Amino acid sequence: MRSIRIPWTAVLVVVLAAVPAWTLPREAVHPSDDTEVFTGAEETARGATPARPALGYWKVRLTLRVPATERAVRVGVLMPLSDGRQDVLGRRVAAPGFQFRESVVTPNQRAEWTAERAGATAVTYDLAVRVVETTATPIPADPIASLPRPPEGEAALAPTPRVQSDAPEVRRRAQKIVGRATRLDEVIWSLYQYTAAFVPAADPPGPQDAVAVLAARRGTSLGRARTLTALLQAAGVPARLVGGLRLGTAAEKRATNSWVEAWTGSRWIPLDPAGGYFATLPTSYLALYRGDLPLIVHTAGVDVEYGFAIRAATRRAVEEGEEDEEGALPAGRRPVVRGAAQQPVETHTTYVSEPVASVVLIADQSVPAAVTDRILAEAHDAAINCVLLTARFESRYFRESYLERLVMTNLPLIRQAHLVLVATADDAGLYALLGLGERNVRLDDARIIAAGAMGRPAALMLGSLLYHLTQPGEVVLVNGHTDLLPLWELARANLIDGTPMAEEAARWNIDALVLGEAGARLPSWRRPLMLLWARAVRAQVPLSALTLILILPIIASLVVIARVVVGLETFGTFGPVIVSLAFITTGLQWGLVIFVVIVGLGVLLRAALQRLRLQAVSRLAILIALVSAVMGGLTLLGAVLGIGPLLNISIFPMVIMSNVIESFAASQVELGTAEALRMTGATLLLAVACYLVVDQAGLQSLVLAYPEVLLATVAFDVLLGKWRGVRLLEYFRFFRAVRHGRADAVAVSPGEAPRS
Amino acid sequence: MIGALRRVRSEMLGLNRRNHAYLFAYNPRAGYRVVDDKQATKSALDAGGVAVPALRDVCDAQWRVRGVMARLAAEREFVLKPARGAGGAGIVVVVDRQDERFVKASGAMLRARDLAAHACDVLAGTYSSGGRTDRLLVEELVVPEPVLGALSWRGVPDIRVLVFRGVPVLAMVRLPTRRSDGRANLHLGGVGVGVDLTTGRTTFGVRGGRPVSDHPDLGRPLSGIEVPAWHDVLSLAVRAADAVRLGFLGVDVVLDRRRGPLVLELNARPGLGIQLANRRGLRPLLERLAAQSVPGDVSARVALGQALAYDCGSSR
Repeated sequence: MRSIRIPWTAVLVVVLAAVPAWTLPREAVHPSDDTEVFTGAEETARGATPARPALGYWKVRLTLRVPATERAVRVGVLMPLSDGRQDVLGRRVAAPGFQFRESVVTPNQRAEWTAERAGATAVTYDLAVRVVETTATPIPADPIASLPRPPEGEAALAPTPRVQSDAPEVRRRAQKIVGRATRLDEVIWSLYQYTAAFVPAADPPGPQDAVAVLAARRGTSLGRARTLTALLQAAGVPARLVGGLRLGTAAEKRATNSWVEAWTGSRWIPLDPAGGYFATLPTSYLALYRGDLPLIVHTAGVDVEYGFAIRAATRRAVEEGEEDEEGALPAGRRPVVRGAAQQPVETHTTYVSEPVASVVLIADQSVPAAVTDRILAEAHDAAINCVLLTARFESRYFRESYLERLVMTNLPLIRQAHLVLVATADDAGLYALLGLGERNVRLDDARIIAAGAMGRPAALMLGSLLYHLTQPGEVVLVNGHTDLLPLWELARANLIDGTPMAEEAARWNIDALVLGEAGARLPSWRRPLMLLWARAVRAQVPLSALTLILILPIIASLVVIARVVVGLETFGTFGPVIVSLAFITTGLQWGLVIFVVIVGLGVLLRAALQRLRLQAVSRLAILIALVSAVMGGLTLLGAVLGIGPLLNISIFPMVIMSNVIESFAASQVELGTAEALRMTGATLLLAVACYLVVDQAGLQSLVLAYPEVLLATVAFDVLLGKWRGVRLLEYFRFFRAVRHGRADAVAVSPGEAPRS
Repeated sequence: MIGALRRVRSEMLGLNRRNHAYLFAYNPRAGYRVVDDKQATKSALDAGGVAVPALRDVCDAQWRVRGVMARLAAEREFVLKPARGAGGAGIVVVVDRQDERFVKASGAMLRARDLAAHACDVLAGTYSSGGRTDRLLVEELVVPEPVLGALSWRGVPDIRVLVFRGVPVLAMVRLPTRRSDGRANLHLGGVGVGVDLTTGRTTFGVRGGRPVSDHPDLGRPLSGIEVPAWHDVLSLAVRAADAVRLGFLGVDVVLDRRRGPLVLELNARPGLGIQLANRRGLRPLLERLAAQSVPGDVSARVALGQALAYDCGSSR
């Protein structure tokens, strides 16, 4: 009876493991028991007239001086992110003795240093930034009532303790200032004008919250920004505070600056009542964070000092990481914004203010990060907007499904792209793009360049299908995994100089198949098939699932080989096939783990059930209950521990697993434990073999290009079905009998035959 | 090495060839239905005048279990078998009585209600393949005669005779061991010993695919033992094959101390391990037999089988 308890213990363990995760508090932007540093001092001077040219390059170094302490120290700082106006082109952190962690707390990026104890340390954070001057954007003259919500939702309208947009005096004042105006541009302008006229204050004359500043009509940039935010919100315009830095050469600057962003229905526009900027900002403004937040938070009682050192820089110095005095950036590599740890699924973007073109880059693990970094940097130089979608998985199925998900979530970007460059190890990237057809996305004049190992006929079919579905200008297919950089050169030449793809490909010695108006075409007798696939895609039939079905006969033939030619004995004829399909969704390693766990527990439970003497049907039902409990438990475990493949378990075929358990038990009774284990091993072996075949790149495209392959498998099955040869394992079995067969036979039974 | 592999290919019968050339060609579907049900086999053999362990009782519905148990209360020794069981599962052998209790072959005691519960399980299909409902057969107990009985660890040894077109081709004795738990099945760990068809003498032992010379539990040598009533065993196997009209089958014969050779079971998909115990391949025998005409008389066919075995054995 003991083994019956096992599944419940497993479930209990899962539940217990899940509890701490539920009770953990969600991480706040800054923990509240720490010292908060909002700003050092205020700048009162009105901003200088915007500097020309409209592009500023700066190097900024934040230095945090942490005194020696025996206590655990934590320092958190909000650091800038790239947005449409500013680009962070390089980051470097030096913090001897500290652990460093960077995380995105939407919409901000938070850097955090921790140490158990520390000697006196200077922590530095270097930034290379480029700031573009925003031209004064006209505010739409729409009625406020019809203003769409900002993506952040209600947060941009909610009052806070220091931005009291719901205080009666704020509401009354907003009402009075706005008067009868209902249009967005009038409301924002009148409220901006009102707060811009406040008397500046260098040292905070009192509490700098919205109500106090409104009453005194005097305040710091922070106080006035809070007031404007509160007034805008009270008038029904979503608004948020921005904390930033005014850039200008300085050795040690503590002062930060605050301004406001108001939502105008499609974008946030900057308003700086203290600096006197309406709907525009000069290149000397660097936004550090959004929201009414402290810039720095550190452990209470530890006296952390900070300062920004700012230098104007040149494009070469910033973008090419040219070594100068201190070398704030690593040399030899162009800086690109990149998270601390490389994730399997990532999206990177570089935006320029006036792009000449935009490019979507789809890559997998076969493209090294250095190459994509370089392309992003070059795109930047050539004023090309670039979006990079990467999914790094060895498993083809995972790669394809994640790339497809990335494509789907970036549809608007892809729709606008002039060029889509796909570089995957095989045809996974192309399949991901076929998802565009499902959504009826037309790429119009855009070019698609796809590189990856695929056979020419398959590439022709797949490329024609993509061409037919998305109607791009051209589809260029490059067989074999070519280095991405020549392809990029090819694309860039096409985009910037208008060089025809075919010509450029010849120049770079690339074996390219160009599909388009004048390019290669599918043979006319194959076109109906292509149109059929296109109809399927348009009807939302997932092509990958369809091809998986078409691959099944091929692996079924594989099973026939394993049984008839090799002589493997497995549980159920096609059980291994279905188990292998399950492996695809979980990945091989986890698939094997799950299989062994489930079958192991199942066999133990089956042995326990044997004593209850149940009928076969109810026994099987109980086994299914066990299998689902284990699968559910593993799924929860995956959720708690963050193991993705375990979450895909739900597709693991439960009934098949129950049958494997039952077959195991049956063979254990009939053939003995050793034989049953041997059969389990054979089943697993065959399942793994099938998995490796199904996950093969070329196969999917093969059945798509030549569905008649199925007839060949049938012919093959007929041939094997007729085969009478000795199975491979039978050679082993009979070998010994033949070896010392006849000699002994004569010795033991000398010719005593009744007749000779 | 290469020569040996070539001989495997040319002389040994593999599963593929067994299925194609012999099962499909010589065994009609109807024959399987008879052979896969022990009760049907028994009546077919009875009708053909082949000696079988007597069928004492049949229970084919749960509500009849009580009646059957009441009749069993008077019996001292018997065997309970599921009609569609495979591999010896679900068989209970009762060898004695102690007061109200039944003594199993292993020495364990059973109460009447344990037997009734077992009967219900059998009827529910616990031991039948695919979980189909089943019937319970009550059979006469077979007591092994001493010659082969002395070579068995508990249980009953049997003689598997492979019969093709009504002619015996190869034979082996199957001996229960401790590992096979008193059952004679080779894949459970029983020992197979080849028998020279002409002399009825045992030749080589094999267990789990490896040669053995002595019984692993009893230590007695396996070869050179003369199987009693050898000619009767062979002619009984031939008549059993005639009774079910299967062209290629394995006949399991037991030697009862009181009644002599009895046919215990038939197998329409005989395993190929018999080639290991005899250290010779089936193909030369079967192919010669397939090409020649077969006499009608039973003893002539036994003689033909013996002659073939001798010819093929000495031809090389």
